[in-house]
Amino acid sequence: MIARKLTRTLVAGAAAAAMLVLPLAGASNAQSYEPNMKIAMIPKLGNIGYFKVAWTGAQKACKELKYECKYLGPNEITAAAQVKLINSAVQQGYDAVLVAANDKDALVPALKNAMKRGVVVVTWDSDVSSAGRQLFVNQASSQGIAEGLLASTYELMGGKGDFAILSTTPDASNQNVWIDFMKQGLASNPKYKDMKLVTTVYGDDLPDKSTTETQGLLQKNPTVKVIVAPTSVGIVAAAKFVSSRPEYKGKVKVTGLGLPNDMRTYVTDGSGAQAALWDVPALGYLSVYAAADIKAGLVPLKNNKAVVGSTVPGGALGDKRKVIKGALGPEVVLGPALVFTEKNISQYKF
Amino acid sequence: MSGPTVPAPTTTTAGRARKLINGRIASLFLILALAIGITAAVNPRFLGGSGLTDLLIGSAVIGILAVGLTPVVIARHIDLSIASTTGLSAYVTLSIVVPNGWGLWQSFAIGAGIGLLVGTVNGLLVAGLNIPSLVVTLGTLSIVRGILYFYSDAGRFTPDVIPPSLIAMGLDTILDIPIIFWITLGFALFAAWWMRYTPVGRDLYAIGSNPPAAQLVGINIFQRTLLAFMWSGLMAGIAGVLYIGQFAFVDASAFINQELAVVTAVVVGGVNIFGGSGTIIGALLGALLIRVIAGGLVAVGVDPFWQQAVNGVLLITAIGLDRILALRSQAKIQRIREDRVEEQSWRE
Repeated sequence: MIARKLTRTLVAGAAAAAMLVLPLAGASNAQSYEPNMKIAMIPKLGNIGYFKVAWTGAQKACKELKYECKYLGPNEITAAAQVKLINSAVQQGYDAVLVAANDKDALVPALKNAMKRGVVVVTWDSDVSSAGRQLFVNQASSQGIAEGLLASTYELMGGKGDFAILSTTPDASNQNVWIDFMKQGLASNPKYKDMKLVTTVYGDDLPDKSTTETQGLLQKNPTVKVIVAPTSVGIVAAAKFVSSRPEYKGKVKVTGLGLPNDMRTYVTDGSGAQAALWDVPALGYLSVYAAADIKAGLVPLKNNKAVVGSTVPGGALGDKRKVIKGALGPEVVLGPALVFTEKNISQYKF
Repeated sequence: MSGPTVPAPTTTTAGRARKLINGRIASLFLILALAIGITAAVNPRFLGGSGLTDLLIGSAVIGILAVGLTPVVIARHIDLSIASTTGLSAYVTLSIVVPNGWGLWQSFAIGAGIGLLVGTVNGLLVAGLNIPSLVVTLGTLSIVRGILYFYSDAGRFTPDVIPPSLIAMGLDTILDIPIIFWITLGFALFAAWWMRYTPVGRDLYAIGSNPPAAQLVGINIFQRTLLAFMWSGLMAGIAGVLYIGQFAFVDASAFINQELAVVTAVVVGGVNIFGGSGTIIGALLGALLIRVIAGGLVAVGVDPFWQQAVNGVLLITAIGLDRILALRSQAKIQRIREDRVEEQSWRE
């Protein structure tokens, strides 16, 4: 639970003290980092709260390393916009780019070109084909997310009963992978044998439709005890609906993937909602360190890819993470999903 | 009751025509009742508990936007910027109200101001420069959303910071009708009166049925069109405040891409997309109908993969039914007119 500790540290503002200790403790390690790197962080879209939160974590890491970091936010969620930003970052002499890719393939030529010029390329949040990057920082494995959601559902319904899923669109790839892993978990884990998924509805990530679908699914399936919404829009809509209806409040519980600030009201107002998510600031933080580690040779490269099995020293996150073989190429996984509950949500402010 | 610029119909014709319009609204009511009835028959829980309240809450925002859009469509124009304006109003209102600790009334004042501003810009571009409204409002759709993206800087308003009075507005009911629906209904009744009994409204019908003729009879097309767009903007601004109450969560993507849902409501409500005819109350019923169909499909348990398709089929059916009734009314009006002409020539 180092990630949890980290957030607490960040939030408490005690980070500075902790960071002062670090270089002393691991003096050789700290000194081996390349001085004065220039790092560009390129999210999928500039103006999305989620990415801005990741950026706060990245800034923390940059401050520790005394690096010059910049957030280059595309103003549209396209690969073309990111290619432009990648090319201009290379021209401006950045030493590393951290990209949350809008397309698996379309960015590869630009990223290859960047690497040819000695720029470190790390992807985070969303990956590209392995030819286009040296390392992917994965927020959580899909299995980890599915397991987190199942565990939360299990807790909310007391281990037994019906639940439903409120997803985004029927073709959303992330959500479908998570839902598939949830179904696998239900089938294979004896702990979940008394839990039954009765229906999956789609709110298209629109508050209006998500609310309508929530209402309709509860009318259609009155036995549902928990609604799982693996989407930050859906979970808020479902939680708002349930908490505002006396016949459902406290009886039907909502969980899913959501930011703690969005869900705080419904987690604490007696509706009993929960939300799961990876530690978003830590994701940005680890991405910066991953780039610094590669540049410093702490994570060795072979054929211009991080060597599977090597350790990733992640600053204050510690060095317990290893490079593993991911779906597209070598990756490092941030950690298991965090579950925000009434007990712990006050520690998370993002 | 006749406006100065529209030739006054004889009372008998007007009376019969009004009956036909009422017949049109009656047909919408009938379709609405059928949709609710069938759903409730299959799944009685559809109307149980807070089912009906939720239907009305869920129709309030689209409903008030339909009320705003109807005069524009009647004048043979379109306003596609309304959903972006709703989002802008919701976000900017909160960004001013929250830090100042203000409440309901300030929110409505700010939201209305933002809406009026966008509406005035739209109206001036359309009526003043004679640019097609489709082009102008497609442009302002993007511009307004762009401004919102820039202004919000990825921020968001979560339920813990939104003024409790706004959240209560989205929850509470008076006489079993949600407050936000009362607000929509209030503006709808005002607009219905405005469109029917004032020169402005009647001129908008005239402009929409035959623009050159409207010009010839001396209607101030510039001023009337500007007013229609200002009204549409104003309603979008108010819709933004209702949106805050309904969802208690606002970010830069609030109400994004919902303009066509409003256009659908207006068309389902029997407003002619090519201008000249339609009613405010019809458009409001249209908004209710699409909400009932959307909610009903889930409550009945239609497979989600089929929902969109079934939704489309039902909408076409609803519009088709209404269209048939409309054609019959038109034929009747024609007959009445012919009768009158015969009557007159016979008298002569």
